[in-house]
Amino acid sequence: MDRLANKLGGAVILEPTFNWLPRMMASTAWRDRHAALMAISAISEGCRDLMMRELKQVLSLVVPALKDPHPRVRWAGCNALGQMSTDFAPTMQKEYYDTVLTAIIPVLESPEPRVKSHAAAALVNFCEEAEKNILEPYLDNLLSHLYQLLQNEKRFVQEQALSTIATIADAAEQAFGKYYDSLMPLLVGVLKGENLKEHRLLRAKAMECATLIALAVGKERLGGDAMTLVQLLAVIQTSITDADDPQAQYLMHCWGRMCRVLGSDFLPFLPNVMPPLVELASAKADIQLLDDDDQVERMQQEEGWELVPVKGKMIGIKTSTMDDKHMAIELIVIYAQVLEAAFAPYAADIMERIALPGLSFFFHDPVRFVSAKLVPQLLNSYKKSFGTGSNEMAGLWNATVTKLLEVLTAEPAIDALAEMYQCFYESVEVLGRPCLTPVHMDQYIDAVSSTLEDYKDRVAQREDDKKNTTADDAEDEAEELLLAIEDDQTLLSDMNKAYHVVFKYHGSDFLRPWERLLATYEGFLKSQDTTQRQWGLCIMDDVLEYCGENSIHYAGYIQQPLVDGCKDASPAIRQAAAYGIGVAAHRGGVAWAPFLAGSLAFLFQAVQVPDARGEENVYATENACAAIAKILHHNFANVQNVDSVIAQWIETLPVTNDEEAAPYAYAYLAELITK
Amino acid sequence: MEAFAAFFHSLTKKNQIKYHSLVTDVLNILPPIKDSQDSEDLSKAFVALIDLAETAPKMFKTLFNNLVQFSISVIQDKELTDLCRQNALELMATFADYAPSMCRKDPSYTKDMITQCLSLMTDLGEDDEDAAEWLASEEVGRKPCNVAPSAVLTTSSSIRKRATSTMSPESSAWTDWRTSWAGP
Repeated sequence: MDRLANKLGGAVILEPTFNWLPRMMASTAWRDRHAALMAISAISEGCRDLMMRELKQVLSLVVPALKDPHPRVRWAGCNALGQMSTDFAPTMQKEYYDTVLTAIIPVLESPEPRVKSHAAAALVNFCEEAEKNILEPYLDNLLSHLYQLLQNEKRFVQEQALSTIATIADAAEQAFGKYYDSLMPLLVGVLKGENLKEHRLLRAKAMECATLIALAVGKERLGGDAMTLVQLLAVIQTSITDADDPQAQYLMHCWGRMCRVLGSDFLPFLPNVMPPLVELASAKADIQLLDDDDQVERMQQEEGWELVPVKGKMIGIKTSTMDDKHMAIELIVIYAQVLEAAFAPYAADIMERIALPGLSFFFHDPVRFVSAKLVPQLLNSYKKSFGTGSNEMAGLWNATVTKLLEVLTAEPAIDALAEMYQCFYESVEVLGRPCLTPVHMDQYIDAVSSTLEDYKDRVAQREDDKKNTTADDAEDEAEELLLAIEDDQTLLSDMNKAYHVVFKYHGSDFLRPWERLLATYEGFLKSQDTTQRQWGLCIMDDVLEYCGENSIHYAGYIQQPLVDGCKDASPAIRQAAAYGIGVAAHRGGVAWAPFLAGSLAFLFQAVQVPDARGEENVYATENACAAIAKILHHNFANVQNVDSVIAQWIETLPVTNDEEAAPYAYAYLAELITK
Repeated sequence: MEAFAAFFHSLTKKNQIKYHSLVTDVLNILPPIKDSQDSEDLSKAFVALIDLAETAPKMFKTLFNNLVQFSISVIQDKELTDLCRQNALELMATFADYAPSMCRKDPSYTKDMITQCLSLMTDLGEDDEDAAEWLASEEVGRKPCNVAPSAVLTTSSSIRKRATSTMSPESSAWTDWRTSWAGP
């Protein structure tokens, strides 16, 4: 049912499904009612849009099941409400909170431990997506029930109650403070208790719960308990000896949360926390080359291995090691982010041993993604500690930049490549000064060139596929195609941002390497494809913004696209064009004066598109307004009838959305007033 | 059929097309096996077809409705083994994954599949009318259990999404359908 819903869609499967469901719900056989509820759980994701429109009716079918005499039907009812809370968020939380909560809460009193516990589990789904103001009126009722569950004799009920309380604390934030005094001592009690093997998961959940509560209520409210908690965590860490102890993984997340709570007060604990984290984060891939089908077969039976075909062979990758590696790096990102300068003692080693190798860790995409997030954080920690001009900073940067440029040509996955461009521009932005040598800049352009060639191949391939496909195939592949196009848009956009920072800190020094791809930019500016035209314009905007009077050398390439851009149907392109004209006025120098005077008419035209102040167009409109102000203020030598232009310009105000454009418009208005 | 599927799989897309016309003969093998009630052979045949459906679903286009009706009759047939019926169900679901447009356009696919899925989903808790056995089990949210395999497979996401909330990322690889329930 799940696959049918996801693949065929609600428009196809809802009618025949709901032809059965009401009858099944009315059946006297509990198995029919159970099946109907499980079917709703299964299809809600795939039928999201259409079912949301009928949410009230769906709920009226499900909610009575939570009072069903049969425990498995009540269980399935909770399951459906839980699943719907996830799939139909935030509508379920915003519009049906009362229906859902007043249905689930009484099930927490069910005599059957499994049913109770599943009701608590459904609350996790609901609360994960709920705003605190919605939960607040229900907190007393929820927590008094969950408190009861904590007293239940079944450990799995207690464990589930802890998870639910933790989720509620996370959602309710400060409002949870009221329950702090009754819950925290209980949790501390569990953590201080004996570390029996059968209590491990319970203790792990208690840790999770306590630290999430800590995060919810904040450092002030915690007072001395903060230290008690971290000291307990330290004791637990030394007590873990078995490799399969669930407390180990929970513990790492708990340390991360306590770091966020305590900020720099967490520093004394860092020497305890880092070694096991670094060990996990630097794990090598556990891989096996599988020689024959029998081995493949055997590996498929075993849990925790992912099989990847490589050049006609299969390799098995141990997924648990990879997941741990990913998690550990994710936590290191948090420490670097929170502790900043104080994390510097670890930064260089982690950069060399974990972050940089992680960028080309091709066995597991998430590791590359999170490594790309880590690199700028490590650089930032060095900057905060030593200053961006220091020798230390230069040393770390030199060790880093080569690798960053290298991965821009090596990364095979489009979405990951976008991430690598982001990593690069965030890193340069952290340095915040000229930090690329001419050789680096050439390498950057080499990388861009290869990325763009691959991009053009993909675009051509898509065109080709479009020609050679049947209507059915097109229908089946539409979704995939859309995702591929989106990935490419993200990639181009992140490349734009990379160009932007390189120009921002290197100005005209970047022009020589930049010029190597002039023909490509020209092609993009003339392209039929909106994404490509926008990309080209943004690059030209950077030249105008950061290369001062040198920008006039490229007037032949830039002027026509700027004028055409003002008339473009795409608001994003009008915005880029208007912005470009504005920065030409602001920074391009007198040589631009004739062009600017001539462009005024097009800017006014851009302000007058239909629905110019609508959500889609308003940024383009406001940028055009600001661009006119920039011309009138900075570069008006060739403008005729200035006074009447000014009068006309006043009509293009206000600027109330674009924070970058507003200061220019209003500074100029103020200037006019004081005149 | 296994041999044909393996051979077909080894071909390039372009060369595969040359063999599309053989699909009628391939499918004609099925009814006699079913008539003989040989679940094991029928089951293997479905596994081979699943492979073909993943590789070239559109090859079945002209005969799709016949195949749908045949598969549904297998799914319904309680004389056949669960494994065999599951493989027939999996074949049908495979078409939804790889050629949804063909499924949408078929006159009976959607209605019949939904009816069969819902019907199979009521097949749980055998000899446990009052759920005494189920209630005594404690493996809540850990591993799906005590549910007829078809239900476990198709509704896994809801159970799993809840069992491991965002805060406790336990790694639990979800074994592929065929690795746990079928295979030649």
